[in-house]
Amino acid sequence: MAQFSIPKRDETKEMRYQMGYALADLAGEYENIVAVDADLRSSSGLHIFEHYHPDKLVKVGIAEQNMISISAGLSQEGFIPFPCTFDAFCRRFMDQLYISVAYSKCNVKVLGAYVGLFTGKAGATHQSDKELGLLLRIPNLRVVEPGCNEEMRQVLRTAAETVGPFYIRIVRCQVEDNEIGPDYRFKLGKGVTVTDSGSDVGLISTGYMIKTAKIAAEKLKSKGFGVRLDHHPSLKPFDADLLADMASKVSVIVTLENHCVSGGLFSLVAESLAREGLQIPVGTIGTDPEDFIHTGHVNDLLAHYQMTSDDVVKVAEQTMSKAGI
Amino acid sequence: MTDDELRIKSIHYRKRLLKYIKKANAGHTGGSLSCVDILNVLYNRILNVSPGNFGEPYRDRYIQSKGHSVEALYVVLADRGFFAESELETLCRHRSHYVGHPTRKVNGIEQNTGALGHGLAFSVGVALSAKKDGADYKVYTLLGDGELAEGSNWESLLTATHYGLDNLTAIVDRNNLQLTGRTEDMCNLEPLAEKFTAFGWSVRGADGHDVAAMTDELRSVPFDLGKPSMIVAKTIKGKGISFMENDHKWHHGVPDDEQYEQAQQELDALLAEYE
Repeated sequence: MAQFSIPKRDETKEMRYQMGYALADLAGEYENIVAVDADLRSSSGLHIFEHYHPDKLVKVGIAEQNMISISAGLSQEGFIPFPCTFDAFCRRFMDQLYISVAYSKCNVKVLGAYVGLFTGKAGATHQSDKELGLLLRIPNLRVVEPGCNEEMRQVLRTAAETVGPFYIRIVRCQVEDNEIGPDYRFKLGKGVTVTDSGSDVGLISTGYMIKTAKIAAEKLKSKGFGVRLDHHPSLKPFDADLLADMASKVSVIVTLENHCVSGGLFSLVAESLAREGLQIPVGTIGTDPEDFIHTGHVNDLLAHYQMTSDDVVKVAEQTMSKAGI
Repeated sequence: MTDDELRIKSIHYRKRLLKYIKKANAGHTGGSLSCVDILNVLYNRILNVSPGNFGEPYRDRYIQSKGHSVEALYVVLADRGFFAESELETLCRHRSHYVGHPTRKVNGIEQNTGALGHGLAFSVGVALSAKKDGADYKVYTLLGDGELAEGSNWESLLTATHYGLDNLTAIVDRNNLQLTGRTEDMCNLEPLAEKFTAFGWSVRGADGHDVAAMTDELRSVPFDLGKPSMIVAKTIKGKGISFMENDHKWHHGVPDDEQYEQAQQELDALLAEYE
């Protein structure tokens, strides 16, 4: 009997559980894949991996620094380790990630679970909305934030098949299986245009926020605005070409991220636009960089941080208004 | 190689590491002098590693967790033929691979280290890999005593025991000094051996400058089947240079011209004893 209950693959929509299945599938294909757990597997979804591959799970105890450097050592000898803990705890192992993994170009694929606001009611200790500020500035590290389960599966495969360090942000909550389309193929360093109905507003999403962006796009369209939605799962490397293309075609941009509005997606967009000399107003959707995340139901938090689709519409309209559109 | 031949090598290693530190006007002099005899024994008697087999799966692995004492490692690797010693003329220069902490850009170096408290965990990962693969190579790592205040080491000590990594040997360069003074004044470590024992390691002590004693201990690992081995090597920071010994100011002190000449003369005098 399994130690932890295993949600059924065809019933659960939670990305954490689908991640457990996807990694277990990959480990069936690649015998050198191992998962490394710092005692959160029943939450992170790694317990599903353990169910299928008990011999491929390395338990290191509640020791996140250890988890990352041990993973570096495992990778040195040909394993492909996927260490997984709450994304918030990357704050504890940032130096190990920086030195033991990224500086040494070790083939380690870190899974940051429970990213952003969707962590339930745990409070600021367990919520992670500031971490991209450092993660996106670590040389050699690729940072990816998938927005639906199909994309997550493709990202895991890409990480397994691409030599070098990865950091993959995984959300806890339910997501759609495919937000983008049946023919979609994730490519590292590439974003994708999800909808394009005109040139008034450009929405740029990453991770979970693709869902909110799609709803907001429909609301904006129903108000008579032309909307283009680009989704950027690959934050590092970032698809600056797709951004430049959008900037040349729309009047304003709104960024949507399950992270604070400094150091993450908005900063990537703002840096890239400034670097290319592209002048376009940009509104932001995301949490407050000066705030520790409050506790509460996720809907309360989304309302508090003004991250709902209605907020996106409001920010888009305000940004257009400020720009005199 | 006889014990005396090793002892002579150690003196030459000291002369060379001082030469390159002096030329670079940078380096971790005291710690390099305290651990160089340990490296001498490892590379000339213990480790099955050479330029010819580096990268081969069966080689033994050495990971220097106290990365700052890299000058000792560089001169030993050069002596073992991993690269031409003349490369060390570029130590710490712009664009040189021979930087002040080890990187894998230098032939013979297994892992980038320098931020303390990483090497033991990495070594645990390597040793665990060997167990999973059924490989019989051994893994050795060198820790500073001041480094042991980093809590990550104690996470790794637990994990090594949990997995019964008897293919892993850690050596503590126990010179009792760190950058700003005595280890026991910064963060008391004693009773150190008892702590390692309590964490499930098999522990022995040795004089870290006695090549014969270090050889005996290193040839005896694992001390107990099913347990990782720990050698607390008693050493002297700045060993071999009278005015550097047991003075924390030489942690990363560079001798001036007069001090450099005196240091080389003292080492030459030691060499003369073997002629």
